[in-house]
Amino acid sequence: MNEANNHLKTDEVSFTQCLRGTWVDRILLITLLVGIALLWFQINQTLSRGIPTAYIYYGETLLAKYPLPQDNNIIHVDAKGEIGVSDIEISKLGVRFVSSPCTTHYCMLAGHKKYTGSVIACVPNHIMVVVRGFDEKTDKNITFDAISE
Amino acid sequence: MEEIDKNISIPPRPSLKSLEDKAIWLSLVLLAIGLHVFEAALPNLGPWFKLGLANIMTLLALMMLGARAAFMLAIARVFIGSIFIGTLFTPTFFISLAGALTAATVLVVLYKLFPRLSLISLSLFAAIAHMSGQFITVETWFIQQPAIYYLLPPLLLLSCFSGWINGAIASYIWRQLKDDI
Repeated sequence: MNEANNHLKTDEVSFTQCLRGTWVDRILLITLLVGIALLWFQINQTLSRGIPTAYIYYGETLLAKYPLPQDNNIIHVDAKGEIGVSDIEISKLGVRFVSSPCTTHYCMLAGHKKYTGSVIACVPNHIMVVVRGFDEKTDKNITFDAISE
Repeated sequence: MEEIDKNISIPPRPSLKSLEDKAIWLSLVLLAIGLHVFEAALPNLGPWFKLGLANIMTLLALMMLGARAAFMLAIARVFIGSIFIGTLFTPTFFISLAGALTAATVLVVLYKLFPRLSLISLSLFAAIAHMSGQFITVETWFIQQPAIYYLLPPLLLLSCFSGWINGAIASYIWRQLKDDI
């Protein structure tokens, strides 16, 4: 055992020591964590005002906007994107991608999203769904390209 | 016979140091590609999140060989890694390349400005730059909707932890190797 350890250098440090970092690293980490948490809180505060509503975008264009139903109604939206049509389902469980022409299907794997601030994006098809509070004052100038309710 | 020999110009041999640097760079690139492919094979930790283990090699290249080598490594591993995982010139490739280049730029600039900054601090900034670079690319080229940034804060929090761990691994490897290089 001693022979095996002979190659170790006298100033050698363990991985645990490296993992601890210096005090500068720790201060930096805490500052970053606090800053990001505050940013997150601020975004959520802004988004949660009003009725939770699903906004469906293709690029810069708003395709549809639906308040999340409280009953058993299920709404399907066919969102035509860059490479095909994404089927988006809106129900009391939230909003989800049922099918997508993309190959990765990350958007489908994201499942239901119902809390304000949730986002599902299908990057290859340029389709994005955002759940945020509907505020009449800020949203009155929005125009629709396809379907609206 | 003597006249012929005089006309042949022998190019100067590269120095041993230059050959050694090339060998180290190539080893780091191969390791980075291996980690890039390994991460692609891992189960998804979330639709937008990866550990960024290959960035450990960029950090080591910066310490061992300098800024240019770190940049070249970041580009090479994204290109070659994408060939292996079949994402070359897909949106994933461009997002990955943007993230890697942003992280490498931040690493190099901070290393030049603050040479006493530890590898963990450098890695923390690089991880945040990587994630931010990816989001800016997605917003500019693909989604074109600022609401995509709603996803950024939770992912930045995760990036801080992955950046810390990657920095600690790079720091450990660098301390083991620096006396031998």
